[in-house]
Formats: sequence, structure tokens, C-alpha cells
Amino acid sequence: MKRLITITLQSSALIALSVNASTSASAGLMPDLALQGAVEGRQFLQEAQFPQQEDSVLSVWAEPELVWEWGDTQRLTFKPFYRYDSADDERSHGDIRELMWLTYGSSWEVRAGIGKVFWGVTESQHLVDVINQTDLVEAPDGEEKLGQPMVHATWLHEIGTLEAFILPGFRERTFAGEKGRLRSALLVSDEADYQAAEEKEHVDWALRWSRSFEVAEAPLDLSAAWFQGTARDPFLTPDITLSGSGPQITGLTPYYPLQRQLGITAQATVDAWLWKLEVLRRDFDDHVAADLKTLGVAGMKDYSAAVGGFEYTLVGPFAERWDSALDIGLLLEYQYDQRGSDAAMAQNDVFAATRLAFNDADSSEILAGITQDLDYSGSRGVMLEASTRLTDFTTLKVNGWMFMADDQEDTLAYSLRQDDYIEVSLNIFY
Amino acid sequence: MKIFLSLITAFTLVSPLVAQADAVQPAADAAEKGLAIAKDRKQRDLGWGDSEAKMTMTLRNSQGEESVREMRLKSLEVVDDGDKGLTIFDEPRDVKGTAFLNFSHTGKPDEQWLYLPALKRVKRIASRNKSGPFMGSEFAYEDMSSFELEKYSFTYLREETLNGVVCHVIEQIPADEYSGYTKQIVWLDTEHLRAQQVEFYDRKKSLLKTLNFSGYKLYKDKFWRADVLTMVNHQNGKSTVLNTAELRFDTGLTDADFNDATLSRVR
Repeated sequence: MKRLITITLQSSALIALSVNASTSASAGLMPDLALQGAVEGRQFLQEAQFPQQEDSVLSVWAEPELVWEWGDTQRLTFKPFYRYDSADDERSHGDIRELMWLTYGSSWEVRAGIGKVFWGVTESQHLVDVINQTDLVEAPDGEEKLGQPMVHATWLHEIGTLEAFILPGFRERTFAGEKGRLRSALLVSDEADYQAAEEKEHVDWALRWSRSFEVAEAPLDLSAAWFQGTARDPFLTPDITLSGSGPQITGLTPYYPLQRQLGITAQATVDAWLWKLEVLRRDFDDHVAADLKTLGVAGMKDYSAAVGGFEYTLVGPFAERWDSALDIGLLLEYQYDQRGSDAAMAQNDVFAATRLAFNDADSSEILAGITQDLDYSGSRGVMLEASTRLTDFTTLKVNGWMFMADDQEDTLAYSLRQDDYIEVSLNIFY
Repeated sequence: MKIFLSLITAFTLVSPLVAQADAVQPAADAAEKGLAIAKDRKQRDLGWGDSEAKMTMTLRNSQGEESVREMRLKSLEVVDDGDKGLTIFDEPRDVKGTAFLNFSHTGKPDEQWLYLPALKRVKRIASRNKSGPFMGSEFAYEDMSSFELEKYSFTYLREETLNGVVCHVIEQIPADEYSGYTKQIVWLDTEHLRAQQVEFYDRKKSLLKTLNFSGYKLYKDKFWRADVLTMVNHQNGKSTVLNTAELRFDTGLTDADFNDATLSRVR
């Protein structure tokens, strides 16, 4: 029943989107249209932990992009997204990834609307990247983001690139539903709690500075960003119900506190080396820890975290012997989080990966990596991403994840231990 | 984009004065003469300013199967350093909107960035990948960097007629230890000093590729540019043809159009 309602709601949202699009298109200016979509099959390799979950999942998504331009310096981009998932109602969802007006001059840009902004330099984790909420049902790596309402001004100045963000309107993280895999035993409620009295309407803001320096003829890219507003990472508080046998935890409710965040990134490019570092400091109001404790989450505190390492590229190591254009990238990153394993998955972990770029006509690439927890030797994640072009308008992708955890104390990793999967995806571009 | 243009300009600049002196140059002066021609060639292409072009790159494998890339190229001349180039991909569709920004430099490694529209992420590329293939083609990144005197040592070899055109033949040895080549042999016509052909020799000193230029046109009454560049790889049997569809100069591009901070607005 609930599923039917969800689908109906989402369908009407989609219809609303298409009506918008056709209205705008008929306003006199024909937009540039591009369309991306995919058919994806996911096969989970282990028995599900929970009875409602399914092993084979078929999913389809589409993401059209419409762009209108006026003159040389004004543009409107509209990019809705919708996914249908055969198993998980929560994964069947739509979003406006982008509805952004852009105007610019020689030394400035102003954007207003809904959009996405990426901050960061490392590969294994995007620590300082805070503007957009994670669309977690899309992929466990958290790389997919929900569209964020914003006004974003950029100024190219002598002292560096200066950016200011005003972020009205908060987006809640998406979580897997009852039939979805990659979730904890307890379902996460659709109803979130907030520290801010304005809840979703709280206006967040951010400032960022970035600049490239030259040190010993090597470029050094630095950035520092301040964010103040509702945290993108929720604390999951237990829902406690009294039953005949006593109090029971029946679910989890996200709690979004207000936070102040300083994020710093550095990247040095030396020959075939990219050295990368992201450092984060997050502060909360003093009473938040106490409030969370009454909600059942202990040990919340201000904290620092960091991720750093390198990417080294071997350019054409087999070019001479086997006439192969293959490039091999070697990545190594260390992840630190002051809160430890109670609150963070990347608290003392090492990420090692290799990126194989075949440099062929089909742009074939493979990225394979492992994240090893140094506190819990039995906790690790293995990932594989491979892609190649089939035709001028189709690509084939294979993504795989293996999650290993043998210690219940590493709760976050332990909850995923039965969710290894392989996903094959046919992507279509028009 | 500037990359390709620079490649074209790189081979268009030899001087008629030098040509007249050929017969009497002693062999010992080959290096001096080679450098003089290269300098003259560079000098003659100064002042082109900025340009935009549409290009089609056709990749052919040894079985004759083709795949096509379409892109737009923007170039900006930089005085006293290498030039700046921006390549925006249109085809194949999966890379549509991907942008490649390149700053050629004279005394230090080139700088390169890639903008990935799906992630809204600008990534800097390690500077040593110059010998790698560009978009799976037979052109290497370094083939597309702007021509700068500091990047090579030159030796004048001989005068030779190529396809009915009288040419200077010059050897260029890359100064960069990370170059994929041990040498390049360049054929420049003596009349207009335009590149007609380049041979690329790999690290084993074997002939790797031959690049041919055709369809030269004169722009702004001064600058010669070839419409068709054909690169043939002799070792793997593959080839890449680069066609310039539209080339316009003085389009009003400035430094601000070649900035990693504004790369995300490129389309």
C-alpha cells in the first residue's frame, strides 16, 4: 500500500517536471536537449540479512538536460532525474539535480537555483565536500548528490578565487527502504529532527578561498572553506517503543544538528605524483551533545578528521614491450577521524587502489581498490569500477563491492557484511 | 583546443633567408642553422592572438574500423611562455561536456586540468603523462602542446623534395626526459615554411608515427594553418585524421576563458 502511494506521488512529480519543461520550451527559445539514462542489474552475492530484502534488482534511471542560453553570458540549465528500482521504494525516487541560472563577466560568476558543487582533491573520501546532500540510495560510495538550492557567487581576485554561498532549503539524506539492501537492521525514518527551529528552512552559508601557488616549479593548489549551517551528516537516533516485553528499538530517526566546519585542501603536482590532503574541523553547539544523549546517541563531540595520500601514474609502462598504451595509476590514502570507530567508518583506515586506463578508442578503464580498517583487521571493503564504450551513444559499466566485517563492534561495517554485489549497467546517451 | 592549433602553427614558421643560405652552410653549422630556422618559424607565427575551431578526429584501427570524436578548440597566445588551450568534447556522447584545459610552458612542465561534468569536478592531471594518447587517438598529449624553442634542440639535415614540394628537413630532439620520443624529423616547405610532414621516433629510436599536413589556408594574411592532419602509427597500424571544420581568429578570448576556476561553466 505504502509502495503504491509512493509511486503515485513520484509519478505526479515527474509529470510536473515534464510540464515545466514543455512550458519553458514553448516560451520562444528552444533549449539544447541531451538525455542520459541507464538500465542496471544488481546481483547480491550473499543471503540477505533481513527477510524482506531481494537478491536481484533491476533499476532504470533517466536524466534529461535542457539548456537555454541568452547571448554569451546567460544560461539556464534544467536537469531532472528519476530512478525506478524493482526492489526498494526508497530507491525509486526523483530529484531536480539542477535548475540553475548562470551569468558571468570576465572576473565573476553568479549562479542561482538548484545545483551541485564539488569540493575536494582526494579519491577515497570526500571529507570537505559539504554543499550537497548525499543521495545515498544511489551508491554506497556516496558520490551521488541531491540538488541543493543556492546562490553562488564567484570572484576571481588577485588573492585567489573567492566564493560565497547562500544555501536556503535543506535536503535530507536518502536511505534504503525495507526491501533495499545496504542498510542496517533498523530502518531510517522519513521524518527527521533538527536542531534549527526553522528545520529545513534554515538558511546555511559558506565561504571559500582557493589558489594555486608554485613551489619549486611544481603547482601547489590550496583551498580553505568555512561552512555554517545544518550538518549534511545526520546522527541516527533510536526510536523507542514500549511493548509488553519492555522498551524496544523499532527504527532510527535522523537528527541534523547545526555545525561550523572548516575544511582545508592541498594538492601538489610533482612529475607523475599527485599529493593530496583534506583536513576537516567540525564544531557543534555545546548543548547538542546533551540533547543527543537524551535521544539515545552518546559520545557526540567536536572533532577533526583528515584524509591524505598520493596518486602516482606510470605512463605507458608496457608501451615499448607490448605496444600497449595502458597507463597505471597507483593510489594510496590514509583516513583518520578523531571520533573513532563508534561514529565514523573511516577512522583509521588505509585505501589502496589501482586505476588502469587503457587509452583505447573505447576509453576503457578499470579502478579497483581496497579499504582496510586498521582498528578492526577483519573489516574491509573492496571496490571495482570498470567501464568501456560500446557505441557512440552507449557505454557499459561494471561496478562491484565486497564488504567484509567479522566484529560486531564495528557496527557500521558489520551491517553491510552480507551485501556484496555486482552491478552491470548499460548507459545510454542521446 | 589550442593544442591542435599550436601543433599546426608549430610547423609553419621557417625563413626564406635561411633557405637561400643552404648551399653554402658547412655541415658543422647544422645545429646553428636548425635553431635559426626554428627561431624564424616561431617569430613568423607571433601575433596570432586567439582562435576558435571545430574539429573532427577520426580514429581508425588496423582493421579499418572507425570511431569519431568531435570537439571545439579554443586557443590563446601567451607572450613569453607557452600558449593556453581549451578542448571541449561534443562526441561521443558519453564525454559530451568534458573539458580539457592545457597551459603549455617553456621552462617547466605543462599544466593540465580535466573537467568532469557528471561530478562537477575539476581534476588536475599529473604533468608527466605527455607521452600518453589523447582520447585514445594516435596523437599524444605532447603532440598537441604549443611549439616552443626551449622544448627541443635542432639540427638542420638537408633539403629534399617531398610530394613535389621543396623542403628543409630538420631534426628536433625533445629536451624533456619524459617525452615519448627520441627525435622528430620535420619537413618544412622552403617557400612558406609550413610543416609538410613529421616523423616521430620512439624511445627505442624506431620510427613510430608519421604526421602529414594538407589543405593549408592563410589566415589574417599571415598565418598558415592546415585543414587536415593525418597521423599514421607504423607499429600498430592505427591512424588518426584530424579535420578542422571552422577556424576563426580574433574571437575575443581572454585569460579568463582559460581558468581552472571557471572551467565548470564551459560548454
